[in-house]
Amino acid sequence: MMKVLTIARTEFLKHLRKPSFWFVLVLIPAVMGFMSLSNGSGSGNSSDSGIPGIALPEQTLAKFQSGEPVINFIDQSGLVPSVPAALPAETAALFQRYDSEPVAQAALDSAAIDSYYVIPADYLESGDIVRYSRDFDPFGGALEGDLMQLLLTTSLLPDPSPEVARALLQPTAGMTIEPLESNGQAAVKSSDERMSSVFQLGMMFTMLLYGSIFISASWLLQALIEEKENRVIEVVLSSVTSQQLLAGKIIGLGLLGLLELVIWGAAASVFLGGKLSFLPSLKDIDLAPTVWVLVAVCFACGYAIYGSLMAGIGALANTMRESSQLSIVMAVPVMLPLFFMSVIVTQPNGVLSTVLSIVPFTAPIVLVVRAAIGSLPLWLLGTSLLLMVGTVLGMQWLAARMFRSQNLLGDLQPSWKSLGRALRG
Amino acid sequence: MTPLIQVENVKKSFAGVDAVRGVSFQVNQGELFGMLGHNGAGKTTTIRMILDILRPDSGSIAVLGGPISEEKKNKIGYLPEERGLYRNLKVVDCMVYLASLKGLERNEARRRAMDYLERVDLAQVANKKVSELSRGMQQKVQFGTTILHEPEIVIIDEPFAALDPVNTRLVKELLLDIRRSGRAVLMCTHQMHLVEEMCDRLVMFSKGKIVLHGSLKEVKRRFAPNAVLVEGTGNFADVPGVLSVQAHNGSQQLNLDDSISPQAVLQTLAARSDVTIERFEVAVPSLDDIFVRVVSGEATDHE
Repeated sequence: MMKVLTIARTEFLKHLRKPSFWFVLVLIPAVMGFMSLSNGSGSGNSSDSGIPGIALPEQTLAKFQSGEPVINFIDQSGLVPSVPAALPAETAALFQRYDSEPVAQAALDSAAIDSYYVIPADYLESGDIVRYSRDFDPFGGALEGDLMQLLLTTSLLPDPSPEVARALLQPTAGMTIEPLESNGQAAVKSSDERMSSVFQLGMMFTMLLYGSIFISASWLLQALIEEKENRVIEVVLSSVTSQQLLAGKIIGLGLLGLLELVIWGAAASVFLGGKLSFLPSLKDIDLAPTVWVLVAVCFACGYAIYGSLMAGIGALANTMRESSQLSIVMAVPVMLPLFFMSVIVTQPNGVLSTVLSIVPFTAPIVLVVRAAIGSLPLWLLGTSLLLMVGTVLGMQWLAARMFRSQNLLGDLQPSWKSLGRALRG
Repeated sequence: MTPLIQVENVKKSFAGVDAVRGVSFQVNQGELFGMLGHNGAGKTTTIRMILDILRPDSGSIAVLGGPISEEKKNKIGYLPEERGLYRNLKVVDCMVYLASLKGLERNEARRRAMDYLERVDLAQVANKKVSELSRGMQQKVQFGTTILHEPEIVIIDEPFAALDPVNTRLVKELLLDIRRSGRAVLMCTHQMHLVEEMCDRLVMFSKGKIVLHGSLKEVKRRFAPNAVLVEGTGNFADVPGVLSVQAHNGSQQLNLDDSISPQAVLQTLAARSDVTIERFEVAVPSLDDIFVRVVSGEATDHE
């Protein structure tokens, strides 16, 4: 045991002294802050138009404020014979109706307008609308979408009313969510504010877990390959068994990962609720202590799973180049929660979220995110934890098979054939 | 006296290929034991089995009187042929770490490391990174890590590779010191003159088997031709019992009939007035010659 601790201590200190450790330590909170801020400012890309319930993109708002029409359209369906009179004058001024497409086309060609919409004759059957623009602008339609919806909905109403139209378009826009804080006070948030909070919270925990699990596991791989590349492994194996070597490295680098997690966790708590928080939407979030316990458990399981995989790669690969090619494959499942973050936070009980919560390779991150946003059923937590523990045991068995002296000293190549040979022993 | 290493009929194969095919030998206290053989002959696999890095398929290995244990591993120093150091660590930290894996207390390891570096004239690089050292310097540091914990058995593979003559002499002296102190050295090398100079006994491996085993004197005697080396003037070809004469490094080698002894030839030559003798010695083959003969299959220990 003393030798395991000696290896653990050395690995811990060796990596702690590396500039790359400190770089990553600062980088992740910085990325976390940047992503949260950019997400927060994402809603800042649109501004209140002054029209209740309608937010306009900034460039559109500028046109709106200069009095220029924003939406040019040709109606071939007969559903919008004119801009509805029920619209307030300043809103109606945003729309310009053209009688025929050639006229609109000529205006577009002469750069008098940037784009125009065609509401085709079969709109009611097909639901299609075509937008023509001078320049390639894939997001332009999306940005002006709210205004087109308002125009069409208002026109389709038997008794045109922009208020009814808005209510039809966003029936729950005004809903507020009032979770009771620990002090018994209600923290009133609108659904938009809440969505922004949970997204930022999800991103923060994803970065926290992704960083600590994957980076610690990568250190493990790096430490193993370093020993092979420096040709010191045989000397080490004459003093300790391959299992002692693996255990020492896992403990040392796991503790370093935990230290990193604690520091990032402290940084995250500053983002979340403290007076120093610069993210207003996260200011009122009060996470239950059990979430932090789950963070520690999920880190331990995630690190054990990915650490074992990396140890297996370390046994197969002989150089850093070979190992990095293999470890990129390992990064994919850890990244999945990041790719699907919006689905996880908007539909936490949907099929995708549930699957990602159960699969042990994505579960460590998804479980924490769902617990943080308050949407983790107990049965799912229990099932996931059981599966994760089972996977940890399975992965460690595989790693132990791979991480034998014979494999470490052999000339294994990173191939399926070598993998089979290494596992058979 | 119990041998420090006892290898009995050990076999090992990898993926159906026999790497070691039933080898037996022992290494005694106060002995410098040579292990010879061409590349791939099974030496490294045998050493790895002695060190418990690999497990034999069959046979038995006893170290310090019994099966290997963690405590016994701490009494062995090992310098493999494929060797290196942690390039990004400081020299002294690297030595301390490797010594602490042998159970040496860290402060004591540091003290001994500094003493060793002083002795081999490397004290000035103690706090430099290993990567900043020349190959020869690294070789001396590696040797230091092998003996820092004062092992009872030193197993060392090609200890003189990359060393200049001065450092070769230094390492040679350190190895002889270990033998003088009653401990044992098992040395693998291709440098035959050093084996002849230093080793008490040796084994020679070929294709996973031991083809030669015994003390240096025994081995040489066993392979000695019935011949004498003579320096002098005159015609030696007509000496009774001399089958042929051939030039040999400025001397003449007289190859003798099996029925005649070198002693009889000396007496004959001394009695003749037409020849002068400046030097006369019984011809013994060099280890190099024996190695080539054995490995090429021309001769074996059992011939």
